[in-house]
Amino acid sequence: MTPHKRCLCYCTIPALLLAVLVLVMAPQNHLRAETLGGDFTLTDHNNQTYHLSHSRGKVVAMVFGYTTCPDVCPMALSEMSALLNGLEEQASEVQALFISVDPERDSLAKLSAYVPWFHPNILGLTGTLPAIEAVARQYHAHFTLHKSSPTDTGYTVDHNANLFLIDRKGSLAQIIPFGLPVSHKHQAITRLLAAPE
Amino acid sequence: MRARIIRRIGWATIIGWVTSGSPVYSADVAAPGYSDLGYTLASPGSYTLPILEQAGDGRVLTSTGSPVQLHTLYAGKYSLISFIYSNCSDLNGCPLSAYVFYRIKAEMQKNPEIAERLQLISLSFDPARDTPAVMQLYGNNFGYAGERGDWHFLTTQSEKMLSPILQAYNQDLQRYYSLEDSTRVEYAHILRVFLVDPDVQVRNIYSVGFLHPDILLNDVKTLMLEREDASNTSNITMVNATLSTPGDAKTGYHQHTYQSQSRSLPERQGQATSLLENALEPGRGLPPLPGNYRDSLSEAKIRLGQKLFFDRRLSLNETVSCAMCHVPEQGFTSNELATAVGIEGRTVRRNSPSLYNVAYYERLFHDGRETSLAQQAWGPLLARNEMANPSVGFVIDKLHTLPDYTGQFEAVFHEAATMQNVGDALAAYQASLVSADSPFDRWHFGGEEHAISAQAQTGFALFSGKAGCVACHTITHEDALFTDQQLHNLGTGYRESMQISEAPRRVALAPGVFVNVENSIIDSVSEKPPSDLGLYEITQNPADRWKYRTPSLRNIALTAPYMQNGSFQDLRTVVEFYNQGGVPNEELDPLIKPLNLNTKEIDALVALLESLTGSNVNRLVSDAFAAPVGDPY
Repeated sequence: MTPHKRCLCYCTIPALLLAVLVLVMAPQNHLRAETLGGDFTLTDHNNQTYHLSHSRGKVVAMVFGYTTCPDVCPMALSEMSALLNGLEEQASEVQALFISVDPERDSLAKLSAYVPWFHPNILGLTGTLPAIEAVARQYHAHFTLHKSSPTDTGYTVDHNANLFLIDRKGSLAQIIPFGLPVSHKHQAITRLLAAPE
Repeated sequence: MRARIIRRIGWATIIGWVTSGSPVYSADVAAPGYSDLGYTLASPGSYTLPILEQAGDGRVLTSTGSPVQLHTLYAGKYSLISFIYSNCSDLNGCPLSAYVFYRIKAEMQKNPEIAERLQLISLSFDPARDTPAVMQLYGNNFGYAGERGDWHFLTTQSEKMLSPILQAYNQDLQRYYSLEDSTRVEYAHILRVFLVDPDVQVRNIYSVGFLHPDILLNDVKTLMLEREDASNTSNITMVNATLSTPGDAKTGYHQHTYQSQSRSLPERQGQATSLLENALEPGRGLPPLPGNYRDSLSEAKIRLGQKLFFDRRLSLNETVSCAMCHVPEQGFTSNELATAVGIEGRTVRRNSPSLYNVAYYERLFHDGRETSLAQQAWGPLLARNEMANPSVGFVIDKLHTLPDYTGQFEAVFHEAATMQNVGDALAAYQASLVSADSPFDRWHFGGEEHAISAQAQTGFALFSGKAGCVACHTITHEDALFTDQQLHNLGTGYRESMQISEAPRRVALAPGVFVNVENSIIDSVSEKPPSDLGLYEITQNPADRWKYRTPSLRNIALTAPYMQNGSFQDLRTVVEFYNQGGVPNEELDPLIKPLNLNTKEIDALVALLESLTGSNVNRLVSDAFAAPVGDPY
């Protein structure tokens, strides 16, 4: 636990890292807006390769998390489950994704035991740390492992807890902040489902 | 994640939240903003929100990527601004402010006035990730709560553009460096939401414990009511005084639209009115002009006096006229100077008295040393720090030689200019500056029920009751001079003589630019303050030290600053001064004691004072604008 956690409320950002990256790679800076969102490839909890393009035609609801996450991830996944149930037959047109930000501890076995427990239609995704970092960067999401030492296994991870909605064509359509009512998220998904392709 | 805050939330509450669709947390974990407030708020308008500071400015980007200044966005609207970043997921952080704003947005759908006058602003402090495109995706959520009302999602071009904004809003970012990776820096901040009014002033700052939609909306409604009160009052009282304004009202510096209201001479276009008629028919609220002035008045005499009054040639080096300290459009005093400045910048130790209704005073000057306007006129003409004429004859001789005065004195007085008739002419013009028939007069003496606001009516009850103002600012059944013609010690003179002042002093370097300077530094470079003992200087009686004449209160809203030394900039400060019981000293008038007025009562008294502006002030100022200005060059 880092010392600043005494604050009642705070948020953390390694903005400098990005600022440096942006400065060093000026063309990338220029491209930032256009590269927001987009395709990626990871491994699902059934050990199958997953391309986001597999879900074209469906609305994708995506969250970041990790299985030993004590608070937000179970809440987010419970919410996701409630959302899928609330959509009834339309649920088949939605692909729910849970992207692990902790590949070291979240083995495929662990993911496949954890994620479907909330809802059978939620797909757990993982990959190498650089691959996951690349996806996070694509979506301007962010996570930090709070390891006290390289051998620490009881660490927590700060990560983005928003719900990312991707439309049927694969474009990032909406970022829903953590904390908004489920009814709002339900409404946002049904709007995307109803949008003309 | 922010484990330690949320870890304690039981699974039961999580499931409860998910199934009910709204967050249900136990009260010791989640901020109050997520649930019902649990207590009743004071009703809107029953309290006031002080101005805390000017809201910071900076260049931000809208979610479409276009640049805009924060101040431009603020101007004319009430704003709630929150600093967020889309990667933040601390339950009691950015998501809380999003949730609270979401509920306010929902309220806007039910309340069109709130939707119209309030806007929500979320500004990211993570410009690297929160590009305008991300803010737009984030902002997509909040259209769903309903179309009504604006919610802006802003970011900045870079950390460099952001950093001064964070500083201005005291959003200290703490930096933490990672042990494993020195290029990784993390930031921590304290959640704060700011309430900014249409004049770009911060009126409240909310931390987690007070960030609740009900509290925020209550405060917004309170500010709206305050503005309505203010506009109601000024509509009633100031409608006849549109020409009365200082060149620099010392407000509005922060607005980019600020500009001086000073008028050049060619812009001072006016229309002459019959000043004789004005003097002979004072209007409701004032008795007839005292006989010594009334009986000898004529329009020609008044006009000759007016010509002298505006004539700069009547000073030693032909630069200063009477009107330069008794400025017509500044209440016939000088709104921009606490104490007057004479020829060549010489210090005058007292505030220029207003000339409205000056003929009703039995004693003239702050220390009451003269009794007639004709004699009083020679005071400033001869004072070496005012108009600095070396002698009476010097002035009279000059008038005899000025071609534009040829025959003028003869026409009015049947003789050439003399010490007596120069004074008489100046007295005639000043005596004609009668101004009554104020909203107060129409209400109090005319029985017009709605001539003044309910607040001002409350003010009058206090004026003649609890606050006891009427003891010196007297009124009778028929009329109101608002002066007892006496001199009193309130302690303002004592304070000045004893050099009691709050250190450090605020010094204006330029409009809107202030620095605080220690008194010792000011004293080391400035002229020694002139001593002023008030009535004692005339009577030599020690009991009369620091006594000054009770001024009338008519047109007082136009005659700032106040007191014999101009030490109070506005009426509220004056009322607060009386409320605290003046400045204690040996000779303090026994009538001056703490009044125990509350804020609302102080406001009511101010509202009353603002209702004392006469109906003819525009006419008198316009007439002054039409007068010739004797300028030798």
